Amino acid sequence: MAQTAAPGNRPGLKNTWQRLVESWLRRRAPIHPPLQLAYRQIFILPTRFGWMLGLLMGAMLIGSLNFNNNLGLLTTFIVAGLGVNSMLLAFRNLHKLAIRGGMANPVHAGQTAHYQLSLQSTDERPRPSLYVRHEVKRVGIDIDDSSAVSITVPLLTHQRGWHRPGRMRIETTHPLGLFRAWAWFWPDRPYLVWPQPAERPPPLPEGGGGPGGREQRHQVEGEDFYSLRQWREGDPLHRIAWKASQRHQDLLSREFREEQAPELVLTLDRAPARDLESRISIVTAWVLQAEQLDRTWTLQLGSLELGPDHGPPHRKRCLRALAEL
Amino acid sequence: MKLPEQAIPLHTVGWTVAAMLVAALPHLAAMPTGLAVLIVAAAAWRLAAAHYGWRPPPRWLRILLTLGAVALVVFTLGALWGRRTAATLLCVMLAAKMFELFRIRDLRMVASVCFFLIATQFLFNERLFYLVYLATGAMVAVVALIQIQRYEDSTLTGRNTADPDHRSLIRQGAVMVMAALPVALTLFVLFPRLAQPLWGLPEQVMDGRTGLSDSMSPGSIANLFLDDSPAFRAEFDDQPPPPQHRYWRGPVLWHFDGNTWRQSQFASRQPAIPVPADSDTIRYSIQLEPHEQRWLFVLDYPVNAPAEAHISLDYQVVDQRPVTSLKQYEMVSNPDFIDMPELHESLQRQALSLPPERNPRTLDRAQELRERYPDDRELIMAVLRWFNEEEFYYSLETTPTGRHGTDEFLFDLRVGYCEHYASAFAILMRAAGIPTRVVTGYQGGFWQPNGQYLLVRQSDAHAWTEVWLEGSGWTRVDPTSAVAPERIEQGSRSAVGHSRHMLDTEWLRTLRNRYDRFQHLWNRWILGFDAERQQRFLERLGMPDTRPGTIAVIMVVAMAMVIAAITLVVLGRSWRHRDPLLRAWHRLERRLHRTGVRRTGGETPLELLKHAAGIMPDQAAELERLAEHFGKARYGPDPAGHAELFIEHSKAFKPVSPNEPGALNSV
Amino acid sequence: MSESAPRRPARPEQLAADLARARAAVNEVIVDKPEVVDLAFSALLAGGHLLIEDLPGVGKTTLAQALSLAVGGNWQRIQFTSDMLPADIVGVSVFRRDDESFEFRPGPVFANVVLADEINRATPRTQSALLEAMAEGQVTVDGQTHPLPRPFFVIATQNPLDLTGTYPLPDSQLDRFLLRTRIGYPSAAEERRLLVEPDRRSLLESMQPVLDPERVGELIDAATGLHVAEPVLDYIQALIAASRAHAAVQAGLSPRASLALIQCARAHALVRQQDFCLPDNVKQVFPALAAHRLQPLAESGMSGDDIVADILANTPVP
Repeated sequence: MAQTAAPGNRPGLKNTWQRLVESWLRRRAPIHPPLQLAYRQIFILPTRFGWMLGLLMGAMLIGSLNFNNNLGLLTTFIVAGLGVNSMLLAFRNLHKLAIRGGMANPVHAGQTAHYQLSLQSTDERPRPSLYVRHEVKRVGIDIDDSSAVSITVPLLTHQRGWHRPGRMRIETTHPLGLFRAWAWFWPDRPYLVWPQPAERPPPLPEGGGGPGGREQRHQVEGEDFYSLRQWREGDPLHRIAWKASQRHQDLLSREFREEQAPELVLTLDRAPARDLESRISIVTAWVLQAEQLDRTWTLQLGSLELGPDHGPPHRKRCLRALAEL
Repeated sequence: MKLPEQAIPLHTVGWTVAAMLVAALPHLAAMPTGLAVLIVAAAAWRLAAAHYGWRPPPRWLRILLTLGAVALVVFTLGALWGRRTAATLLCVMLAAKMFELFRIRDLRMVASVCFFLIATQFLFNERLFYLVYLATGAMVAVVALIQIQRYEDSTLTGRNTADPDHRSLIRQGAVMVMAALPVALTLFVLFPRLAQPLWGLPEQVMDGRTGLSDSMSPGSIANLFLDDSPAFRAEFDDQPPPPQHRYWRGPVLWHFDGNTWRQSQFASRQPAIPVPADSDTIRYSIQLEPHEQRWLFVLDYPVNAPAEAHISLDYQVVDQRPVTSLKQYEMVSNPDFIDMPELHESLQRQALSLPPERNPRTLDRAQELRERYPDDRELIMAVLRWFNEEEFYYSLETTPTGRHGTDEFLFDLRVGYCEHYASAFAILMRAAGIPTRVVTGYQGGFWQPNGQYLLVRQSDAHAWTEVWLEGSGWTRVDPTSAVAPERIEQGSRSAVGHSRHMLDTEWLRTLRNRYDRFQHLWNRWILGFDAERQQRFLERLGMPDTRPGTIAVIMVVAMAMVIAAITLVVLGRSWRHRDPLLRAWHRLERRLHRTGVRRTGGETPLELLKHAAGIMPDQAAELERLAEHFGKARYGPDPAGHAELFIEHSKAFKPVSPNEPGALNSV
Repeated sequence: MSESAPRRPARPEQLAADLARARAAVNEVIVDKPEVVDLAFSALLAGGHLLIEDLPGVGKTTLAQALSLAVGGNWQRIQFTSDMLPADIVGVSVFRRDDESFEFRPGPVFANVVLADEINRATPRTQSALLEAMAEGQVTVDGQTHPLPRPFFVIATQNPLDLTGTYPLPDSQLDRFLLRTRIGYPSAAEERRLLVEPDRRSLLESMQPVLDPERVGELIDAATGLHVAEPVLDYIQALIAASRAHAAVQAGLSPRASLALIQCARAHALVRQQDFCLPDNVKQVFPALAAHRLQPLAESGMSGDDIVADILANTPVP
């Protein structure tokens, strides 16, 4: 079963609140990438430092007014002007920023998935100090010109299956750190989390699962010596078996075949554990082990049968099947 | 305390410390040298710490340092609690902050407090020159904030901030400060001003600059003669009075104790007899530089008092509060008024009293004269004649005198200036039984023909006397004019025969007068922009209602308009290229865009032009030529010439959309 | 026909004129596909090899033949079949009984232009023999190295749909080819011309070589020296960076690919008779250069061509 769980899987007040916020934002503007940030998506508020400077400005204002000190007032108002411009510049830093894509390579549960987003300034304006915030993590990036840059958001993974990263926030406090402009977005392309491999898995279950094993694909070339045959035109020199040729008064070539490894069939039933999740992690560990040993294996999950095959693509197929289970 | 992973780089700390030092500079100059040195040393420590990667000192040491610094301020300045002490304390606290300047939050705090420090300085001095201070201080503080923001980014983006381009940083800072001006000026003009202060103003001397004091002893005015700074400026509705009538009345002194002349409690508290206005009144307005005293300078005799000021019985105009910032007031004076045709007995007693056992020779001379001239007027003329004909000199170089100072002056030294003459004359008169008082103030002034105002400097300070005569009341007699008439006719400068210091050359004086015109405008439009002026300004703009509430509404509306305009500029303006070729290209692109030829994301310039040629076949040849020039100019090995050709042609090129009627005409 | 006397290097104008004639000659045979012809010439002048991937009957072989004829020099055609051995490509060392020694008999790969028809029909072993020869410019048989002639240009064709009994080139080997292109169906008007006019292939028989190996060498040199302005370099870098940042790509383009891109863009500019490189050149060679080098993530559901189109559409041209 594919899961599309949001982070913080508790059906609490917080979740309801987030859903409310999401539906409100959705009514305002698109919230899933690809999107281009516009007026309706961008929010702006002073930062803590901004509030502090505001307070300082208030003190300056009252003092200058009281002393009827016009230069003091002018200083105060210059600070106000800086604030207004800061706000606009922070807004502009996000305005017309395109957010695209969003995907992560699969990782095992417990590892950090790197969710890649592509950001691009659509009007050739440099966009310094952008941050993408997801839950508590924050990653920063600068866009110097109009070329697209990718930003990688680390996601903590807990459960296998398909996940959506949930709410992300792109924000900026450019240029003076007085105002924070931000926009929410929900990347909707899910990412895959493979099951966590068992830490100390039992040894690989040798021997065929099916009746009599399967016919191996005939490998023409291999590492191990297979037989001698008559030399044909085109056989390389180093394949000629000189000693044997001498004995037989004819040129003989050596032929090689790959070793016939015993077949490996992995099923959940063969995993020595009780609950489903532990079995899945054992099988996951087996798949990884088999690939490391360069073995050929078959994965049977109910009616689904993958293989026999070997190599990274097969491993990925198997892991995905295990993740989606 | 949690430290960031890496130490804050030197340039970030450097700009922040620089912002602090620039903002503190005038404060440093005004505080005791020891404290100033400590503050600079703290800043230097922080820079060295950034350079050598020192750790912040332990917490207890920082607290100790802070407490020590505060204690030092209290110890040094504690007796004189006031604005200056508060500002000094602020500087010292900032210096103590240097030892915990290891977090982004602290850096930002220091940079922003710089604005406060700058504003504080204007409580002491608001002269035009300080505009440079304001601009520089704000700019450096903004640069510091930009640099702090970049540093914060670098902690998250991993971008290298090793070598920022300082010149471009300064430019950015300057641009940000300039960009803040529209909002700042709108607020400045429209922000409602307080008519009454919320709390009282402390009394304290400003930056050591003083004007006239409320007493006069020989030598007290002399220090003003060397001060060329402006005391006030006067603008007249009609012509200014001739030089010999420019007596600006200040404190009136009645009591003489042998050394010092002082005010009369009685006369300065009693309200004045109202002066009627008649056809010869002079109407004028004064911009008084702050002098930390309460009196306002006027011509004789003030008809009205400005708001919050009153006129005393001896026609001093006294404000409720000391003048601590530039003060503007409108005056009407009637020079023909007769002050006190009848002299009250108690006043007469005050105007005749002399300290006992002082100046016996002067008293003898007075008796002598009295016997020879029974008529008061004749006696006065005789004394003036004496001053004029005998060997009396006007000079600033005087010799200190002893107990019988006036005797020594009149009979031995005979060298002195207005104070000496006024004092000696008054003593002679009193000894002869003529009620006399001493008036201090300013005399003369420099007429700025271009600015149409009279500039009165501190060096124009003067002292003269008033004698009470039967029939004409208090009458001004200036004994200095008998000794050195040119002092009265041409101003204080001519009276002192030689240049007072080396730099006092003609062109320098011209320069100073020119500069003063700017200062005058500055005072008038920036410093003197108070509630009243704001009201008049708005009235002139055609606002019928100028109550503070309405002004607030106007301000909000104007601010909304200004912010909308800035928003348009900030968001609407497309990124402007510095390269003229690219600028021309973008202009062409915009023109094509308007006619419906839109460039898609990945379209190359030449593809766009080909695309346009497909839509506008009539102009295909022109577009092709543009494409050729642009290609060669932008991408070719030898762009010379092609860029200019492209710019020229693209300026001339007016794309015509085929479905516009104009296209038909052009075929 | 080449002259026998040694020649001085031709002047640039002469070179350009020769190239134009060669291009015209090929365009005469392959009607209505000037972009494909230009790409083919670009691969040649960038010193790389060309893979033409398309359905049968659209003129792959004709293009390859015309190109090899126009380029001149000796050319060989290898029709790949499933029973071919590496020796059939690179040559064999023949054991001579009479003097008990081995003699190297060069295979068809020893030619200036090699037309490798339907390369996916051969076994991977045989394919890799050719690919190695392409990559190294030499052939090693039984420990002996035999250099291939210069210039050495391989035009391989591959049918992407006919998969039964074939061995499509593995992804990792595809980047041995500098460019991969398609021909596509002719337009309706051209199709009509094909129907009514005499067979274009007969033109091949009467085609005269326009260039010769030496000329091609000079042209390759000329392409290498072509001016590439800063903005074009920026554009190349932006494209490469975008390929690396693209979310649907396993791995972006390598530095080798970026070198290949600039060289191809130069060659393309030369083919187009320009004396400097335009972003347009980069943009036109980019799909042929990048699509087969980018490996899309299976999850993304995008093909290499989709990704390339996406990158081009989203990379503004400086």
